[in-house]
Amino acid sequence: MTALWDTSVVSRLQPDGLVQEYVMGRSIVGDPVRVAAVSLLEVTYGYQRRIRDPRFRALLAWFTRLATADAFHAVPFDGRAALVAGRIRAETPHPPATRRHDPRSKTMRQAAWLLDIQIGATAYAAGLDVATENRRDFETVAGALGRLFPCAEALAVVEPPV
Amino acid sequence: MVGPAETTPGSRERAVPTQGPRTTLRVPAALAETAGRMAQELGTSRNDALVRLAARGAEAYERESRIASRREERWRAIIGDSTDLARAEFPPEGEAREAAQELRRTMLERAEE
Repeated sequence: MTALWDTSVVSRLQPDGLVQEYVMGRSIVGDPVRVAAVSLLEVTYGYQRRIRDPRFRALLAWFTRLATADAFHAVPFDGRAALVAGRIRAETPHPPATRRHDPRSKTMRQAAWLLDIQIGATAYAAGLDVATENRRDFETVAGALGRLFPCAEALAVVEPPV
Repeated sequence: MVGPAETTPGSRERAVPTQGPRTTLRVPAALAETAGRMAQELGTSRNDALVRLAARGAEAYERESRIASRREERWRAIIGDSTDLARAEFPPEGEAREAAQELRRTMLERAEE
């Protein structure tokens, strides 16, 4: 089944990299990679924060062109996804217990958790699975969805294809 | 999906034998042109190229249908609450507003901690 790419996968996109090659290949055969719009927010935020560094300015320009050239399909966080996300957040207010040496503050972990919930809800409402390197958090999201909507097909959390 | 047929250097590739009903089609000019170009690239017949293009289209159609059907199944589950709204009791406005703004409030409180 087709999977939505989360930020951990999208953030590996680099000019002339393997991931970019894979994305272009999928676009050429008419089956573009699906990317969460929320992940575009995260990625462009990170690049913009470093915009004084010309390398990041170039990376942001490249990434923007890739997105606007329809190299991949950005799946929006729409009304259906929002209805789902609110319910997941209420069902699981906290992310799974942190790994040791997680340098992020509690507030940052909460903010990241809300973004993960939005991405999981986007995939669920769009009829997709989710591809991520952050399996633990998304399996928690999938578990909440399973409890909320036991009659529907579950959200599968899969490894990135590349 | 139909894969590329085997060739020997310098020879024209033979179309992959296909099974199934025969049909006669009126093909739009743009599609015939694409099929012609593909046939030349693969060294096969235009008919074979048309079948390959149709197979690609069918695969895309099946994939999109599966996604759409799962999206609708999940949506039915999301809206499937059978509460009888005509008989339901609702919280007063103040209490409802407080609940509706709880996420924003708890995130602000955490940020201030």
